[in-house]
Amino acid sequence: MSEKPFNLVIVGVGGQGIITMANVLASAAVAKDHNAIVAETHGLSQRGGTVIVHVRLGEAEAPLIMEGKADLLIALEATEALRYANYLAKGAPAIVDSRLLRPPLPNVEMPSLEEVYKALGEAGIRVFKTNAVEKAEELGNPQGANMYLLGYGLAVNGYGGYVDAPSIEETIRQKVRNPEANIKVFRAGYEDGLKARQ
Amino acid sequence: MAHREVLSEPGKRVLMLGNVAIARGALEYGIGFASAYPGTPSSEIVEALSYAARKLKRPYVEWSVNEKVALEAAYGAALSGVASLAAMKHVGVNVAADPLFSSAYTGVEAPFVVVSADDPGMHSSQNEQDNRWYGVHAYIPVVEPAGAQEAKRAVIEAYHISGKFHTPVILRSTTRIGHTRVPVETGEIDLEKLEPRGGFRKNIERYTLVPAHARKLRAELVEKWEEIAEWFSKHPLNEAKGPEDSSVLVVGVGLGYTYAREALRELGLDRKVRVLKIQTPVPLPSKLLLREAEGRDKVFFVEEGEPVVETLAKSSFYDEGIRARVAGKSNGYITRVGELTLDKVLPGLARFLGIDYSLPEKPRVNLSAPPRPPVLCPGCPYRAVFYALRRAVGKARIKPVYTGDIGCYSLGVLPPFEMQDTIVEMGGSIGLANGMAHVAKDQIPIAIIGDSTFFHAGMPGLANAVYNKAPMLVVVLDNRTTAMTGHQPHPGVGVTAMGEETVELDPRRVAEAYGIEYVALTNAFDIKGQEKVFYEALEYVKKEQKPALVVARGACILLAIANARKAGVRYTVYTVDEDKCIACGLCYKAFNCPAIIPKENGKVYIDPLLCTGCGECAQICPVNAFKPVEEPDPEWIKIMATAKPR
Ligand SMILES: Cc1ncc(C[n+]2csc(CCOP(=O)(O)OP(=O)(O)O)c2C)c(N)n1
Ligand code: SF4
Ligand code: SF4
Repeated sequence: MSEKPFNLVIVGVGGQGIITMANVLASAAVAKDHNAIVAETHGLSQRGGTVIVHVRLGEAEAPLIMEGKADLLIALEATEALRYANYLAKGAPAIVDSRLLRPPLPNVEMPSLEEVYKALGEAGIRVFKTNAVEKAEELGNPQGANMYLLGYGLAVNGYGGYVDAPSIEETIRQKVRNPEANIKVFRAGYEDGLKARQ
Repeated sequence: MAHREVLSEPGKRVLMLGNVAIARGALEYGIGFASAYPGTPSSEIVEALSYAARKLKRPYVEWSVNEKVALEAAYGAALSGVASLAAMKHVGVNVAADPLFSSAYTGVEAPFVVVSADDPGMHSSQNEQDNRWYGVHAYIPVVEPAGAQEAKRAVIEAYHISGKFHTPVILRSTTRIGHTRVPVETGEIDLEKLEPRGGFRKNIERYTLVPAHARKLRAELVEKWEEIAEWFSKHPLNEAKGPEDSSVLVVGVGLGYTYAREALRELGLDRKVRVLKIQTPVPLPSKLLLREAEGRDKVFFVEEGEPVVETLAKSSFYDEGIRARVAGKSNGYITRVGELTLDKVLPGLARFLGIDYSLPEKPRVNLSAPPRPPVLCPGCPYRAVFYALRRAVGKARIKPVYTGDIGCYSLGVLPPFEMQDTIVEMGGSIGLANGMAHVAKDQIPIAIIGDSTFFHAGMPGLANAVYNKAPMLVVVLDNRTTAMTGHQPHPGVGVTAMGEETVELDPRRVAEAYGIEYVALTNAFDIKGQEKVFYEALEYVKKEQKPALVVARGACILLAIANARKAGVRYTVYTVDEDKCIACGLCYKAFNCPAIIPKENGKVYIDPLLCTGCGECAQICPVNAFKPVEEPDPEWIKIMATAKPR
């Protein structure tokens, strides 16, 4: 056990590209000769249900992160951050995108974005607010929100030092469709994350 | 999905899913035959093998019609001298249990591994079932990897064990093994060994289980069981670490080992406590357990699922007079409900060891997330089917019992439809209707069953309904694929796992051959047309008191989109005419396509990123407010009816 593991939970809704995002990150760590474990959600929940993917970099053995032990939470849909905030360690930040997806059921009570951010803040979580979908759209890649947030996360706390921008970009080149367009949003996310951290 | 990593070149460290690592292990060992019926969390194993088979032209790989046939087919190949694999989810083993038990008696010529993918936590299943009990029950050895990181090695060892003892072996995986991605070191694949060529050698006394033969084989089996237990006590898949003189032993079984290690580390005990890793739980390697438990005060078991090893070990300890205190899942130190997590293991272990421990502090958020169950996709043909069927039922003035089944259409249990009154197991829709039809006299059972499920387990129930004159309406949802488990082909679509063309079995012709008189086909996307047919069919059942069958054909929209993309065809999204919309709410209260989003004023808009251009909404709006942004391509309309997996 030389390397203290870095624990990341990525949450959202089936179909948002969360598995790809987790894979790029883990492959980049593996390319740098580190260990990685990614516990994914497949099957039923991919039909628009809630999704949580656990990513552990470094010498971790068990696939699931313990509640209260995640070093970072990235939510691709804002209300999903409410569902999984309990994974965060004390003082660990959350990157919460402004995207709100209403569950397509009759008569669902949907909190507003302001309420979501307020509740997370009141729980003592340092929240980074993003607009990944708009940013990705502006760069001509509406499907690229996941890569934007991947870049943003790297800027916010560096994923424990197991990866860096070049290793992630190389992995995007090898693993993702339309690599150049995705690298562009990844970089934009990274830049915005650096700014937000100051 | 392709899972290309399965063919990564040797000598590399490649990130792959546990299930893909299992496939890779089977290829590196050198199997000639693999069969499966899809089921989460097992499907990617044979998906990856089917990718390999298309590229390498070997081994032979098939999607079988159900798990019983999958297991029998792989068993038959192993009897003919070809190393084989059959994969299925945990409940699939229930379907395949009959041949499984026999396979232990006859044994096999060539190595034979059955992968059972259990789903603790029920991420995609109707129960939690620990299939290591099948090993105990049927006298079949079980190998259980300690995480995805050990999966490839464990499969290869499972083949060696099978080969050495001429016995089938169960490889028990779980969701957090099969669906976890880890770096895997790739070894060589020898193409020659993948060649599916063998031959059956007659051996009447072994392969025909008439009582006289079976009695002899039973005695042999019990004897062999002891030998395997001995062998497992020395097997390198099991290993003990930590101080010899520790007063405590922690036994980590399969994936439980990883949680055991992390729990000890968390408590600062990782160098102070002896840990035994068990990857061959059944038959119990009792010598090893006795040796390791001897002289210690406490033994703690961490295993995923039921306390299988714990229970067997306790009985062994009793026999040998070992008086250590034992704890785990058998006595409430770890809950038996749900999947293992550190949150469950840590407090139990701490309590057993008398250590003060409290779980880490977590943020408390005073606002809850809205419920977000899985739902039918935007543009799913089933939404139109449910909508039309409900209207037909109203018009026919009957009291329906919607006996449901397992597939995407199970999601019809949710509002606004709530048209799945029972969901129990595959084939249960027609099965339960067979009983209801004879006793629930003033109700009509409407059995709703997917196409893959129809071929899997629906046909015997249907034959029964005709034979025993059970009035019911059977609706076969022909969406051209096994959608829920990831869009595998099935006997109705004319393509095999190897990508070859084959005959298309048609549920209508099956029904006709069975002697059902009312058989019809509808377009699943056409609401009015279907409503009429369903109404007629219900009138027929009511009047004739006989079964009727309607096939609602329309491709899973995700499959249609994938086919269209390949063919260079585009679908046309729909939009709402704001001025026409009267804010009646029908489309989001009674139909609920996720792409239709209500606004503050009760009117709606369509999210163009979600809309898949199915055109269903345009058929239900009372004021024709929905329209396509341009005239839909006729090729797209054709693909919606005929798409198929490849
Ligand atoms: C015995 C058994 N085997 C496999 C499964 C996994 N499974 C769940 S849904 C499903 C797909 C059924 O396909 P189909 O009936 O065509 O319905 P669709 O998902 O396409 O709507 C399968 C195979 C299961 N639940 N039980
Ligand atoms: S995957 Fe296909 S069948 Fe399943 S809900 Fe989506 S559109 Fe319907
Ligand atoms: S056409 Fe209408 S019903 Fe179909 S996906 Fe688009 S919005 Fe939904």
